Amino acid sequence: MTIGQFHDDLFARMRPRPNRYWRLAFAIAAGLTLLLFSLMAYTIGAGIGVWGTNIPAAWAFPIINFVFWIGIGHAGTFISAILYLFEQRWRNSISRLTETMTLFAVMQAAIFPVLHLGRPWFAYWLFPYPDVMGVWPQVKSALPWDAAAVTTYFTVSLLFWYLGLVPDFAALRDHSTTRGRRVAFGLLAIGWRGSATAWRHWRVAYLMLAAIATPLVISVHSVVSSDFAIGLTPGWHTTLQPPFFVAGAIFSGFAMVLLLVIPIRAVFGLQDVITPRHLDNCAKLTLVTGSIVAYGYLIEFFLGWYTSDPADKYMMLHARPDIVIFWVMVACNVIVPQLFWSRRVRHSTRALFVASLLINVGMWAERFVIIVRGLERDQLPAAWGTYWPTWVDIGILAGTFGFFGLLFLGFVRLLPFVPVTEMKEAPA
Amino acid sequence: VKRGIAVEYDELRDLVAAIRAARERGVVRLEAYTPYPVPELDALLGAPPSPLAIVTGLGAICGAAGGYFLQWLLNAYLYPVNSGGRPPHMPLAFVIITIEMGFLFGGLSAFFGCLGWSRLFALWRPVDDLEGFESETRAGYWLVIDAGDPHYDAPSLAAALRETSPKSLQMFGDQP
Repeated sequence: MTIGQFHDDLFARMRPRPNRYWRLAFAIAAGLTLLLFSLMAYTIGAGIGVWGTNIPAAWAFPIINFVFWIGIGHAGTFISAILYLFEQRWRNSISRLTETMTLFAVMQAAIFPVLHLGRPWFAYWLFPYPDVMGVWPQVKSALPWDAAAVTTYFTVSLLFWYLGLVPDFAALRDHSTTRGRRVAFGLLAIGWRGSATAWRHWRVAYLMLAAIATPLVISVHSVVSSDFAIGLTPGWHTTLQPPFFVAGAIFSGFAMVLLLVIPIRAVFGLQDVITPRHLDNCAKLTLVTGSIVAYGYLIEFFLGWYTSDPADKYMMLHARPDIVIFWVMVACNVIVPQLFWSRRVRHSTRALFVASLLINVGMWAERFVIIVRGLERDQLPAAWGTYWPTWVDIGILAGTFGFFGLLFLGFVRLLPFVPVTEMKEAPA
Repeated sequence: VKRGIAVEYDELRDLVAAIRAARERGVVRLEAYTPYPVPELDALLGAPPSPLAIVTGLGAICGAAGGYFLQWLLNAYLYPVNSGGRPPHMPLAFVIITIEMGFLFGGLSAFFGCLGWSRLFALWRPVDDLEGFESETRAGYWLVIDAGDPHYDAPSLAAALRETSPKSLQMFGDQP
């Protein structure tokens, strides 16, 4: 196949007519998105008292969901930046999908801490704007660290994603059939022509952004974990948190990549672009990061016992009603990934899909265990309590899945989700 | 490039041969267009290395220094609050935002540096009016020689380029 045929074939396959399944998925996602925005409006209007979040579990659902969605974003940058630096060419065909997943997941994550502020219209107080009141952010607190880390991560991921898209936008500008599309992609392509000069700078800028995004993958969840590690709550105050959080984030991110990529390659008939090797590699990386997570669980218990801190020991060793969630976590995050030792499982899309779904359930459960169980059994027995989410909490969580799905379905319909330009280098 | 000669090729090796032929005649103002990055062309075209690595590094250093200074200004100078007995100027707590600002400004420098040095944002250029030029984002390889080059001699250059079996050869703009 020549490069021209390859180009035409790939772009043609990325623009099929929306079928029944796509419409159904879009309708469900749009419905959940509507629910999300309605419940956000309700929360802002009535105050966060409509959530189950209360003393002692003052973080609860919003922070669980925040950590969960930020974690999902990690595999995107891992695949697009770290594997790029290591010249793993297999990443090319899925890198755009995973980068997009990162952006959309971080957008979901950002909803939660902002709503959790209680008065989200003051969210800009987190940033050092010139303030006539003379009150400035307290940068010795972990919350401005989070604001800096998450906005940096989002911005750099967005720039990296857009820089990769520019040559594809130019191709769409030059080869679209309707004037509307030519104008839209012409504006998005910002005058890209593929000159040797532009490519020379593009290559270096892309490499630099990959080099910056790589430590960011590690730093974002490390910073998120320091929200916990610098607190004294049982189970939080340990130096184990940063590597444990980062491994967990990449673990859940790869599971999410599989969840998204498996239906997309089936629907768009891209089995020759996103091959069994891609799925196999993602499953192997899920297994590796899952093993680190399992080791983290083990060490957590060991530290609880070894340090002999009474609050830590009590929190870990005494069962409460939400112990069910703990066992869901162990089953999904420790036992399910063991299936990936089998080559047969790694090559069965159905098994991979179900396992990835379970891993994401498990990783959400893990954040529940870390955040809620520690807060429910703090140092002072007089301050103990039990947390239950309300229907608003559950509705908002479900709504973010809908919003994420809506953005993603829109993306695969409108924009080139396989980086055609990067793929051209391989047959060339 | 407002005027000059443009040639299109189907194969990269023909483009390379054409660049060599033009360079042998002393032509220095020439630009190649390819559908994907071809690092080997930089040396052939005699292009200097991209300064973006240095620009990114400088952006990162400035961002990190600015981030640290801002934190000192806010928490040690303008609004020193005693929080848990920690000193107002506390480098350990300032490390994270310092590093993040380094990454942020490094990334912004790389991105906007790329747009600036590549002279993007021009939504139209004379080369866009060349017949079939849109192939350069699909599978075509183009060489454009600027008529402003001191060694530009249209008839003899065109004759030399025709020997490299181009798909098309066009003169554009008012020839000198």
